[in-house]
Amino acid sequence: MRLRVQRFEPGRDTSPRYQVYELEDPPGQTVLGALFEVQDRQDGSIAFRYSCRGAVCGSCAMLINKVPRLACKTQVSDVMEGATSNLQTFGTIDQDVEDWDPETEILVEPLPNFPVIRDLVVDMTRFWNALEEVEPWMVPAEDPPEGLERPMEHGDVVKLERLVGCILCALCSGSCPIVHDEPDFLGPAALAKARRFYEDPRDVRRDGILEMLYTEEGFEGCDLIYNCVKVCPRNVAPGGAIRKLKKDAAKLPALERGRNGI
Amino acid sequence: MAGSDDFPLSSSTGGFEGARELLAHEVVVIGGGLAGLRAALAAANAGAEVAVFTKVHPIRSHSVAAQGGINAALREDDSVESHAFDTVKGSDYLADQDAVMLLASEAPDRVREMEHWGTVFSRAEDGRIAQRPFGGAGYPRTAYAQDRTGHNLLHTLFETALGQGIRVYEEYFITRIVVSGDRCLGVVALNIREGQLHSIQARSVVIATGGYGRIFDRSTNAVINTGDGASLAYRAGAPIEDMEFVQFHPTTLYGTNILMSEGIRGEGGLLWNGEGERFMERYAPKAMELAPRDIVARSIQTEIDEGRGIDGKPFVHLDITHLGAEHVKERLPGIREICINFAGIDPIEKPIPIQPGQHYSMGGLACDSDGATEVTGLLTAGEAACVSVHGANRLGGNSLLETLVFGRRAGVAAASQAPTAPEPDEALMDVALREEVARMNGILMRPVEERHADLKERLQKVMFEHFGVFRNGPVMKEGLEMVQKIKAALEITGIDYHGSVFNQALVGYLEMESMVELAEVIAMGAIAREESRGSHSRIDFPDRDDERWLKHTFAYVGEDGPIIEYREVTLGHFEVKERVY
Repeated sequence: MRLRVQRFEPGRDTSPRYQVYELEDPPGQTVLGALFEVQDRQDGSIAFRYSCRGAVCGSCAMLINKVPRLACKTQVSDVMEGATSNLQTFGTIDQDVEDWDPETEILVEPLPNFPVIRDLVVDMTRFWNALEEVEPWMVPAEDPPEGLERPMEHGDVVKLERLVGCILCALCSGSCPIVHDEPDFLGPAALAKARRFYEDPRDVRRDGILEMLYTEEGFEGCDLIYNCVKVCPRNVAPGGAIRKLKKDAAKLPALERGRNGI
Repeated sequence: MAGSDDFPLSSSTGGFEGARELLAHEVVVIGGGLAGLRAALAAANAGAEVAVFTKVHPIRSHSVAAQGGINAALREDDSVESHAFDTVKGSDYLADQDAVMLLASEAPDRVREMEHWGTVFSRAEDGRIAQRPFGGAGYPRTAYAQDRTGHNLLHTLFETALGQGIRVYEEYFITRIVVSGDRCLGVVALNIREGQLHSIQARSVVIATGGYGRIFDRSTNAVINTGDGASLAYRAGAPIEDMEFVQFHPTTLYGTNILMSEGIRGEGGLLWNGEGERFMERYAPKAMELAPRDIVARSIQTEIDEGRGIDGKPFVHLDITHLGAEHVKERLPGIREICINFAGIDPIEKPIPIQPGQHYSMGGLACDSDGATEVTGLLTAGEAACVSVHGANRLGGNSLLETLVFGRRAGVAAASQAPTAPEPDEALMDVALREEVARMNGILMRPVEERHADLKERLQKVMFEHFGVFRNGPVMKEGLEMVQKIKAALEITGIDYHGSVFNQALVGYLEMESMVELAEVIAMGAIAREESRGSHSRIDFPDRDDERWLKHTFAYVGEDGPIIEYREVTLGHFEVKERVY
């Protein structure tokens, strides 16, 4: 098995290059395992983010055979079988890599739409800033009761669970053509997080969240391409959340008139 | 700025440089998991100026992987007393009982506070926070959010910290805790992304860097769990306590050792051996699958060792096929996903192959109930700390709780001490920075004798094989010698990458330094303790010996390795008894 890994060292490389690593057998079962095998035994210079190795921490988002995926959750054998991608292509996803033989090699590149710091490590500043932009913290309707939790309906909890499950891995942002084209677009994860607070009956903001994000940088900027839904490792379906934000915003006449101007 | 010319801030041969700007914060928290963020929020709310330094983004911390839940006496028919008793009995009576009373009594407020801050807990029919049965507990006391309790709690704390504008320095690795006399002055940190070293002054430093699980082969822990903070503080003079008590979780997924939550058994999961026996009958006839972790882990290991694994292999079955698809999908969706992704098994249809694996450290930096260590200005909380509330064996659901209760207390204490701290000593911080620059460049200049990754793999195997579920004097002594050889080999080897930006070879080397240091303490503590108590189970000393060993192990760094001392256990609430389930 061979890994073809995109390398970039600031100060030394002027543009990314590719390096091929030969591995005797599929060492672990996952692409992350293969990368560790390279880093531990062949080449300590290679850099990539990791933490939990169990698809819960969201560290190891990267482009594997031109599909944004978590390296820890991606089985080597599945990639080698070469399932074709159904993503709308753009940018690096669309670029051919010279000498890459998909029959014998797994292609590993950094997550698209983010500047590369080194090798597979990208600068996530834009992603974290976007998250902060949507003010993802609870603004309670009233002071919580002393010494008691606020009651919640089981149904409300179930509705929230999908959105709360987001691990902020940024695969959605890395797969989004709008994030690629529009530098100010907040992106799917931040907007899905806004929806999570919009749907929480304990949060007082409700329509205030719609107003805040009823802009081209916010949910109006999304063209519902749904690449984000296809790559999400946790079935958060950010595109679905954005569609609902659009739908709820359309019901508010005051907002119709004041579009973008609020 | 004062400084030493012996140690320049940059080296003429390239490599690492020291930043000239001196960073300073009132309270510096090391670690961005639950304990660290809770401490930071508490310190900020108490009026201190706070910064969090963490080697990964806060939500990549291992807290996120906690599954089953968090204990608190939330219902009228439960009680703080009962929670405390279960915890003390679970600890095999080694926990300090005053600290346990604090843990249990502050639990309801800490859990409800998380609800107030936005955590989405699973709910009972009456709309209150749902709770499930957990091992060693006399009441279904474990509050949960499906099987992603750690995720939900950590994201809420991160969001709350974001809302309050807590300053976070991401991807900074602490290389040294600077202590002068018996006072902590700050830390030196490597900015991993820029490849620069910084000295960071602080009035109080809180170590919340979590556990060291990766010292062991077969660990449930994240790859980043290398015990850095506890190890650095130990090397700076703070004692570490009860390190021989290592929790082996009974149920980790065969192959990858990813955690299979105790919540699975809480929801009704059963354990079967290769002969189709529900073998827990033999070991804990009353509590069965919900005996405490040390007991269930030993039972499973015994079945495996005696050839009653499934088809004679080193695993048994954890079975939830009788629970029904709906129940599994609603309560254990994350577990199901992990089984499908990492073992190719849908637990709705087939039993899960599991084996014991390293999971948690009961030991850690010795501290009081406000997180204070023996070094003034140096505090600690969470898995890095040893208060001690877990004694010789932690109950499931108490570690998330510990992070919140004692994280908050440490944060408050750090803030209250800060104003009375003496003026920081810039000259000393500068010397420390220059020494660290020289040390990093020294590592870079050494030839690679042995890859540190190979040394790490050797260490993990030694620790699992020689200091595992069952221990034996001669085997452990052999293990200690091997650990010391690995330590010596690490000291003379270099690394194969010398760049400054995102040098993970250097970070890996520094992590390995932390690991091998702690491994030696674990080994020495385990060899010295000639009894079996909680997770520390010796074939050559199979009984608990309260006469000689109802005491805490304290390890101080010495010239030729750890110096071991002992301290009294704080009793007073519950009588020390035989432990039967």
